[in-house]
Amino acid sequence: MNRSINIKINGKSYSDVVEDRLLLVNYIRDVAGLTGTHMGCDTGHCGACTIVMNGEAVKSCLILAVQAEGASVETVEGMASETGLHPLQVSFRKNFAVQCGFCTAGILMSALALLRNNPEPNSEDISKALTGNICRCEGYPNIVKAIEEASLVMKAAKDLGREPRGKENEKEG
Amino acid sequence: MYTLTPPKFDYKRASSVEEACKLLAATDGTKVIAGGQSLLVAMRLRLASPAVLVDIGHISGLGNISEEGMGLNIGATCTHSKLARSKEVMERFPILCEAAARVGDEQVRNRGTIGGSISHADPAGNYAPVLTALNAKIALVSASNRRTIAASNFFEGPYTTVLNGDELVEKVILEKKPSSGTREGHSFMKFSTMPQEFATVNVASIVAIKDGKFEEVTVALGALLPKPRIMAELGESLMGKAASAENIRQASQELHLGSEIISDYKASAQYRTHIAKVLVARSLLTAVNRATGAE
Repeated sequence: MNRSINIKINGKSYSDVVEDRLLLVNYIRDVAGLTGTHMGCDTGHCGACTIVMNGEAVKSCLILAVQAEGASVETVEGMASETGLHPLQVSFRKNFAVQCGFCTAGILMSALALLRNNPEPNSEDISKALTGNICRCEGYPNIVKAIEEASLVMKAAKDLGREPRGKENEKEG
Repeated sequence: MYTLTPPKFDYKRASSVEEACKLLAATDGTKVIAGGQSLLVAMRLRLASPAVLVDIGHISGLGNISEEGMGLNIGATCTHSKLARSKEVMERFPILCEAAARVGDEQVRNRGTIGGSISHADPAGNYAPVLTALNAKIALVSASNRRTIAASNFFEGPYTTVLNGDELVEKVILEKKPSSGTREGHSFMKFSTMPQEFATVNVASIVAIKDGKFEEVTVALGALLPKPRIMAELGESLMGKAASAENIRQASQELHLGSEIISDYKASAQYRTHIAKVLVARSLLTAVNRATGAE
């Protein structure tokens, strides 16, 4: 069966008729054309397909597109703004928290959800939040370091009442 | 890109429990979906191929946690994350928060629900031993009937419960006994190959201590046998004895686990037995320390 769905992705509304069995990850990649969200293990273990849905990190390969009707979804494409990369992205580049990069989009989304709920996480909080994201390059130490550093940058910017983005910020990396 | 897409099915979104029950009664081969964290994996691997999926994940209020007397009702679609962070649950049944926080990983806890977890009844699930130890009741509903069943009778074996094809779990009912001047402590522990994996063995321990002695000991083991089991002999052997590490260690070593111990790729029955004894001792000691304020 097919049905029509309305989903908001990175602030933009999408309306499409989809098959009931279409997975949200395939909707995002193949219908909406946002291929930043990756599909890794295909069975819900690796977290490469992690997105933020209604404010929470979830695996888009374990959700049907039809279940996401009316949801507000964020993917890695929504992180950067016109003024520059998100502080998490800047910090990942600066700290070499990317090796092959396949898991990175999912890890960024888990980190984004974490920092909204807990703006000052310690390394244990970060490791726990990333339990569902597997990096086969085993680049975890730099990933944890990058998230910790991004949280400090974001807090400092917030304390100064500034938007923690921009070209200046990027050059530091 | 190659993707394991679930087999074809007809998706129905229910807006109320009554509507979900009607949809369940209407067609054979209908399955309930809420978070879908187990069901969608099973479908993609062709271990399940329901003709119709009834989505109860959008029914308003079905995931609520509500007070009833000194107890709590937990709605079927309450997520593991919500349960783990709930102040009401932490105050009255902290062992349930501890178990919810150890389900899968963050993403799975954000989607997966308590009703889905117990209906799926993976023998290594976290809730089975905890709900059994807490003497919880499970409310089931269908288009023609309503019934409440004790958690100890709900689980029948691996992936098997008393749920009929047209029934769904509506809520979990937790009743709290009035405190009798004893000090209570609890502990849920899970041993798994990786933190996010299903348990190799898990254990729920609830103790009451009076004047340094065991007044109540309830230990339920999961992932070890086809269904959760209360270790009644262990409880009896400790009752009235000093709540000491030595007594706990000795009683744990003497655990009789029977012949049905699961042996699989994760652990042989012999290894599971060893882990069970160690884990029971650790969790009992933690429960005692929490009761006496040592932790």
